[in-house]
Amino acid sequence: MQSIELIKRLLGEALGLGVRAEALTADTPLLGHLPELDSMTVVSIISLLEERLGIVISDEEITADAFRTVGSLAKLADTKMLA
Amino acid sequence: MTPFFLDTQHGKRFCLYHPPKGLARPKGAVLYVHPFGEEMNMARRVAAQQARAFSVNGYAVLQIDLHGCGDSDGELRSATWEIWLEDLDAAARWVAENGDENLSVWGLRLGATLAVDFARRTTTALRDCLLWQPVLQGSTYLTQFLRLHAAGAMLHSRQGGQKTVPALRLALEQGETVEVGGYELSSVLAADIEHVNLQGLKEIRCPIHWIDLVDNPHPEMSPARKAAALACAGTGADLRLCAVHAPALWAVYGTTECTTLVEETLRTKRNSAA
Repeated sequence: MQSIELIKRLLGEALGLGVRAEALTADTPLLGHLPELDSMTVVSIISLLEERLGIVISDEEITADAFRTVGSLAKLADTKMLA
Repeated sequence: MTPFFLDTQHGKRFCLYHPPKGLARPKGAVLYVHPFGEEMNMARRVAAQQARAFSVNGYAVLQIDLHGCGDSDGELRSATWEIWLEDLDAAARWVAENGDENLSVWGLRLGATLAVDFARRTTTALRDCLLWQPVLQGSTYLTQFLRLHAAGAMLHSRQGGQKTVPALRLALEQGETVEVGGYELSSVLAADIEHVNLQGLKEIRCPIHWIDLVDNPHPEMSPARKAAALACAGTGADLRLCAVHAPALWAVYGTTECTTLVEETLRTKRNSAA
């Protein structure tokens, strides 16, 4: 998935991961596994996704499922782009 | 660095004053306008780093906690945009009375937007404005702020209990105060924020240095923000745009310093001297 690279970069920025962003894969768990993931950074990630991809994400889509892994977040982005 | 409380009409404001250092004549004074909510705390260390850099290089710096923020008097639920502007007026008066001349205003995020409004209205002749990642539209900013509620609920597995952004907005419209991430937002302040934008740039007579923070080794302002900035400035304003390689320090924890940003901002300030 092309968007995995974009998601990795975006997560790197929003969470201040630095070089750790490179090590992320589609299966890397997010929610509950990354201490940097809090309300502020979740909102940053959503805002960056919207800005970079020109999509709109609604409240209902900010779910534990979407944030389970890097892959699930990429899937959300993909779905919105195809809409 | 001297902490003190400034008396204002609506209560005391906690302030930090950094005197201009060095043997040469002071170069000027800078008034810092902090961002809103948790962003104020997240950006605190870098703001302090910048204030110290200004001070060491011959500029006086005044940092003021606005009404209901930080260590100042007042509850956030009683804060309004107008009270915040009055706080900045009081701060500018204190700087003048303290003998520090050539005042500039420096703001971050919503603080930058507030700084623009202050610059537009003030009778003090400002040397220049320094804007770090200014908020373009209060309505977009408010949506993102209200989203913290949904984000927080998700993180704490309160899926059913969260209020959606439209529900929070409705509550605000109906005159309620909403609590988001520990911050109480009144309907009055929400309405104020909803309506702010950067159209005021057109009315500012001093140079405006707009600095966007981009987390990329080859930083460039996004085309959308660049276009919006130019539109707000119109033909009248002396607006200079630039992008610096820096993280979103108002949104990312653990940013204790940002030397690239601090050095670039200092350089910009020095070169701005008439």
